[in-house]
Amino acid sequence: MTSLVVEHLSVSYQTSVGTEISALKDVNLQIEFGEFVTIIGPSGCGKSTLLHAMGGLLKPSSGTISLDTTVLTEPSPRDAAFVFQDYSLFPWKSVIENVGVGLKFAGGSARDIQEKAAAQLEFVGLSQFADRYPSELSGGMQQRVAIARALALEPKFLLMDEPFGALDEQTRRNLGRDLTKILTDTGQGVALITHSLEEAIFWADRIVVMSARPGRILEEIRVEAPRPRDLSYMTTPEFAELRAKIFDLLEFQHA
Amino acid sequence: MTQTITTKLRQSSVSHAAIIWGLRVALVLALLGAWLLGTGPAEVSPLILPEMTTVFSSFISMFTDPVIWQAAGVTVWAMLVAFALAAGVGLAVGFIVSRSSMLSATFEPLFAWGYIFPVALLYPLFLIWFGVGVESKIFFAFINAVFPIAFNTVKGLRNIEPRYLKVGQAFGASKTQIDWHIKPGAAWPMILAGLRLGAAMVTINVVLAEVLGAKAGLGYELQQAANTLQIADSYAVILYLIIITAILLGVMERLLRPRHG
Repeated sequence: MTSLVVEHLSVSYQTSVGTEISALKDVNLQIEFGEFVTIIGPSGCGKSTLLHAMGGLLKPSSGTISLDTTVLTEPSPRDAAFVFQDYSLFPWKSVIENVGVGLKFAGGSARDIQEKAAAQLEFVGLSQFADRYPSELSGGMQQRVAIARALALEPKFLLMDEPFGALDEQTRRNLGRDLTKILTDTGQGVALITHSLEEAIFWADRIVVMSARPGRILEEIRVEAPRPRDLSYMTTPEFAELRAKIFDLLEFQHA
Repeated sequence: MTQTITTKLRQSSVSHAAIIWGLRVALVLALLGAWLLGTGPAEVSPLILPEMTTVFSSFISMFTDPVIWQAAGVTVWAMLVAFALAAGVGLAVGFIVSRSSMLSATFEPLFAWGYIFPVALLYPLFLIWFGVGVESKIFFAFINAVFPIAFNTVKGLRNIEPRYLKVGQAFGASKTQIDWHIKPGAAWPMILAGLRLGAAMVTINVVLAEVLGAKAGLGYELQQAANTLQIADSYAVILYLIIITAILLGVMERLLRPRHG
């Protein structure tokens, strides 16, 4: 069983005036293959920094990120692929080319890239938009394309940085529902950052609650209800209880 | 509901476009009216403003005259060669310079300066270097066009949106792959703007060079007609120039238009 392991991770920045700001302090986290972990915390708590470090996009000041026993020092999209909040699709490439960029960078044959990208696009339900450009798609559709781009590499883990942050409520819910199905089918391990309590609970096998800066893990909460969950789960007492608990955790540290 | 809104939008944009076209036609008619007024009741000297009918008859007699078409061929050829050279050199130099931050810092102001420098001042020198032939014209137009192209290429390639580079990094792109698959695409709108500027520079400056000193071309024909006080002929040549450069720029504009937002 593969797992993504974060050990004693600390990240600090040097500001322009020379003072050192500690963004993350001694974070330990382990995500198993097939597990869905949501990370929630006040803004500026370093949750995005944590995810970037996990994806190899940021050098930790100390500590390690490893896949089982292999230490990851640079981005390895086949191990952990990224989904960005602002989609970051290439506007000059067609939708299907965007889905295939990871495969292209990995050096696959044109035919292989085309086939795999088409399959992923079909999987996220956007086959008919293959030859369009990102600017012709809605935000929700663009994020689906970005998800397909990450999934095309068949990564072991998916790192999602507030993937629904820029979408309206209705689109969030629809995309969320579709994504539940997609991610249950593919079985990746997922680390998803969110600032929405509902999202954090609804998706998660485990919720990681972080403190304000310097970011530390305050508590890890397991959600027992089996996935994928129906929207009606949001009306259960268990959901309300979890919501209250996390709300307390987040509020308490503000005090 | 949505349908009625879109129809309404379409109707209003149609009438909007109709008004704009109407105004354009009115402007042309006003100009022609002023011309008729000038040569008629206002009695402007035909050395300044010849009669519209004489200009048009000389335009039409030129149409069947091989001289004007040879001259147009010379001019268009010089424009195309100058543009191809300026685009090739400007893109290549811009690309190479953009590779290093030191080179960029050194050359960016030089390109900007070359872009605003009145190269026309150097034309007499070009005539000495290359002679009164097509080479001088091409070199002159090339010098005028190469700077904006190189400048925009460097600017575009040096100011790639960081998020695109981050995607490249996250998806395992090598440095070479970033150079070929990400940077040109991200910089393309800026580079295109440089090429469009270059195209305009080329058309203006080939004609200018032909007026300043040349042995052939539409600019040369214009200068000849003016020197011999064939004012109606100069006006007719100007009409040819306007039509030909408009077509040329229109074609380039179409070729260099970005495909998507």
